[in-house]
Amino acid sequence: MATGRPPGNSPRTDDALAPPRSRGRVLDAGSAAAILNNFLEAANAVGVDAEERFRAALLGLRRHPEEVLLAIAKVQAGCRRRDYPLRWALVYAATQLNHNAALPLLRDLVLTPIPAEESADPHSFSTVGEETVLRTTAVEGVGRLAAGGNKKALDALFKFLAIPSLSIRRASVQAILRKDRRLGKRISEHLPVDQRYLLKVVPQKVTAVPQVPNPRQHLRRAEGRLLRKPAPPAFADDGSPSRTRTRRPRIGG
Amino acid sequence: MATCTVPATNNATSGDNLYGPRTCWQEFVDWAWDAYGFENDYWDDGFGYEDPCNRDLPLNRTMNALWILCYSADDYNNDDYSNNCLHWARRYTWNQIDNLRSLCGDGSAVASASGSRVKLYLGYWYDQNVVVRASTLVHEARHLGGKSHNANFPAGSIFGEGESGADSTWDYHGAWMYEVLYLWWFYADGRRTTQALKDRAREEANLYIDNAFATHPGFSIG
Repeated sequence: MATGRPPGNSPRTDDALAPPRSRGRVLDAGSAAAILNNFLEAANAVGVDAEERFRAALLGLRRHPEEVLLAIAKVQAGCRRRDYPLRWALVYAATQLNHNAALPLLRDLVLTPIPAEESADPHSFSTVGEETVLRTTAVEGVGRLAAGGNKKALDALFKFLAIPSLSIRRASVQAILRKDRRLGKRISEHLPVDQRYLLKVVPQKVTAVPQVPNPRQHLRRAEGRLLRKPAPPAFADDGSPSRTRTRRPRIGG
Repeated sequence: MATCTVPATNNATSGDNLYGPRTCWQEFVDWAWDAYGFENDYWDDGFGYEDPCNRDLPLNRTMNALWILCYSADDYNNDDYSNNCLHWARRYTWNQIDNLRSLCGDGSAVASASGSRVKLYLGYWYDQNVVVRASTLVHEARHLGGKSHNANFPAGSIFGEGESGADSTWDYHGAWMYEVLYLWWFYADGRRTTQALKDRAREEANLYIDNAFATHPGFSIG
């Protein structure tokens, strides 16, 4: 609900946010960097030509795998450690190369120890969680290389089983089993006894798992009152006419 | 009153370049402002009230998450609770949240929920991509529905083995289950988005499945 400002002499309860100190340019110019930048833009674009644009960008990426990998490593080294969206996109780009040259970068990332938790409230936000997602994405990339016959990639997946992370272990187990279902016994030997249940974790489709039976029953008050809130406006690609109201953020003004 | 600074960020990889132009839409801003109870005094002073189309600022980055909740189902107007989570998450969140505030925070939590209020902190806009921001609102909305976490994190959990904050099982229907389900449906059937964001949603959901339930549900996202 919109409320007026507090009386002039009362203490402020809200915070202030200062603009960035410098906008900076994360991606350098240069051929491989430009190809990588093009891929990152295309991977996050939609529109009538988005699919075609993405395919073209991916082709460009795969045409210069070694150079692109160097560019990825360079951007990784230069970006803010907590810019997880960018860091994840870089790992994603490396996996999308689907090239054996990406193995060292992906393997090294997975094997790099996860820094200690920085958050005082990991339930809300966990730096270990974010670092783990980078690594599980890399494991999937290594898994694709292993499925394509790269023996070093398969060896790396077994090595990952020693990492004390449920998610990295689970992703590695599933990647190995995708390569060869007969490797279950060997996997089992690499897992701690109390985590061998990971062998039984089954990849599923969302339609195959239990849903929320009746979300309405989990509302905090009677629905009759809830329905007073109107539905959002119909989505229009070209925007919609503005209504004039006060105390709302004004676009363009 | 605290003062914090917008960190350097890449709006392409966070998804804000994709959704930002869509939320630079007065009618949507007007609707969301009321539906989620944005409180004016908490969104000015640099948080974006004065510049709602600025993708670097919290207001636009929050609107982008709300746009995902509202329009990611193919037939997005069909938000009946008998449908899947991708459809009803928008209705569930605006039904639960009456007051939305932006704050600097202390760098630990990205969001918190109490009563009918959700507070968002700096990490919400700059550590999370836009899809995860949407799922965070689903998580917090479930807490507003009166469901607290009821178990400790399992052995090996990234959230801290033995610490409180886990849901006992998938069938507990807690905040983690809601969040995972939303991310999973987004991965499986999200529209007007990119494969990269869908793949990122899958990774996040698998992380929660592995680490946020005292008893592992026994499945992952295939």
